[in-house]
This record gives sequence, C-alpha cells and structure tokens, in this order.
Amino acid sequence: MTTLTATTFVSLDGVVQGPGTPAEDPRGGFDLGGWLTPYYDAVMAEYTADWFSRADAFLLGRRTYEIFAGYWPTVGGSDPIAGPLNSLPKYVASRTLTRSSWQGTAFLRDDVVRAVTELKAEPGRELQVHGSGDLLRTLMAAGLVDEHRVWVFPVVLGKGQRLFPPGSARQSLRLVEHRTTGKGVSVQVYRTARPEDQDA
Amino acid sequence: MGKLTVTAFLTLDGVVRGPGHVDAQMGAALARWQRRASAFLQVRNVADYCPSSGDLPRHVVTGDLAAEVRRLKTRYDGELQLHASGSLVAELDDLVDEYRLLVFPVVLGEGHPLFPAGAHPLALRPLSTSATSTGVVIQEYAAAGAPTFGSMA
Repeated sequence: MTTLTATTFVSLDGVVQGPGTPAEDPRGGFDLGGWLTPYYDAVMAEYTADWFSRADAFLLGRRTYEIFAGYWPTVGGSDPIAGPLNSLPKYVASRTLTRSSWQGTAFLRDDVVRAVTELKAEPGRELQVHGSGDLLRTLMAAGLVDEHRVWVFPVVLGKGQRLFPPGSARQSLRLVEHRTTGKGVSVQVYRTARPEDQDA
Repeated sequence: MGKLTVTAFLTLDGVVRGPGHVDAQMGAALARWQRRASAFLQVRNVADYCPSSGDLPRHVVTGDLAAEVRRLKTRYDGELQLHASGSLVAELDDLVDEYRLLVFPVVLGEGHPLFPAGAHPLALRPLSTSATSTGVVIQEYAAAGAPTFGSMA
C-alpha cells in the first residue's frame, strides 16, 4: 500500500486559490494571488524538504502541473524539491494534455479515482499531491486522501476557491502534528480515518 | 478605548459550531480569556452562547451590531468579548481587534463560516498557538491591517 498525502497552502478562511503569484490562478476574477509569499521562511523550507524526501511519486492536477513544469525542470538536481520532482514519476489528471517534455510524466485521462486507487494498492511510500485543488476535491470525495499537510496562513481573503467548500463530505480527522513558524504560519498534519475506523 | 475580541469554535472547513465537549485544555484557554474581559456582548437571536459574566456587564444587542460595538469601545478600556455564532463577523468588518479560534479536526460541509465570502482581506498577527490532546488547535490572532502579496519565483 502507498500512502496518499496532500500538501495544501490555505488562508485562515480556507482559500487555496493562487498562493504563489498574483497571476497564478485568476479564475472567477480572483485578484488576491501571491498571499503565501510574504510568509515563506526557513522552517517552511525545512518541512518542505523533509516531505518531498518521502515521496515515491507525485499526483498533480493540470494547473499545478503546468506551474511546476514551467519552473522545476530548470532547477538543479540537488535542490530538495527539484530533485524528487524531476526524477520521480508524476501522474497528472488532465483531460486535455497528452504530452510533456518533463521526463517521468504520465497522464491519467479517464477514471482518475480508479487509477489512483490502483496506484495506492501498489507497494510504496508516499504518493504526494501538492496544491491541485480541483483534483484534491475529487480525491477527498472518493476517500482516497490518507494525510492532509496543511499550511494555514494568517490572512483572510474573503474570496477564492476553498479547500473544503460547502458540500464537502462530513469527516473526522486526527491531528498528529502542529507547529507555528516564526512568521506565524501554522503547519497542521491530519490523518483521515481509515475505512475500518469508520465502520467502528 | 476598549477592544473587541471574537472567540469562535470552528470546524476545519471554517464553519462556526457549538463547543461540544470542552476538555481541560480548552477550558483553561476559555477561562484565561474570560479573566481579561471588561464586558460581554451578546447578540439576541444570533449569539445565544455567552460565557457566564459574573459581576461584569453583559450587553445584549438587538439593533445595529457595528454601531453598538463602536459605542461600547469608547465606553470601556478593556476587552469587549463576543462569542461568535454564524457569520456575525461580517457585520463587524474592521472592528474586531483579536480573534480566538478553536479549530476542531472535523469537516462538516455545511453551516455558517466565520469568514464568509465577501469578507474584507485582512492580515493577522499570531499571538499564540497550542493544541489539545483531542486535536483542537487553539489560535490567537490580532488584526494587522491589509495583507501584502508577492511572487514566489
């Protein structure tokens, strides 16, 4: 079995849209992109390096994949993020993309839930989702996420797509780790209940 | 000039809920905050929960909440405390000085968010964070004006 982890940047009001740059994701007229940037620090970099070192493969939505593909292949292999991202398999949920020059990319075109269920059944460490809000909502609805690694930023945005929008499946999680960085970002790690727990 | 503090029990999806079972660590935080109060605010038919006020005044608001808060802030020097229900904070806009949030490790998928769509963008300054043995993350924030934005790459 492979563990599926989801790492997400989220505002205090639960928004996940456009954390990295102003123009990253303007869907729906979202004009508050780049809210993560003032808070990035060494503690975040340490956690990120540790988490990327646990990956056996990545699972990305089309938008996040295109952002990554436009940047990480240009970064040297010793970088703790670029190293794993460039060398390990990348599964991309997309109905429109068919080819990529980024080595190790495979597209999941049709039944994403079934494909991910099969990937999880194979032996391995972590299959990691980063960002990829639309895909993540599909995976959560199917109960495929084992661990949420959530970075909560001390900012209220008031608009944008949310990690858990209204209508999200009701669920209980277990907090297994938390810490606050010097810049006031709260990192929270939650495990989801396994199916056998939910039967109990 | 007093300040307004808002305390809320939240789910991971940001929905305001009742406290449910208050464990010892949550109780300690609530008691610590309550000791700082100069007065309590209660909003009739909306925020029914109000910590026991002891000898301290309790103002029950029936009309314009923001106007009442402005008036009371000039009257008190200490903390005016409001326990949030529903999306009350939207009416208060920039009148809230501190948020005390107890985030439960559950997703409900329905209900009133503390910060609904349309809330004004706001940066916050964390004052403290802790977690209880039951996985409730307790965070105190001070309002810190407009957020700043940037570009990673």
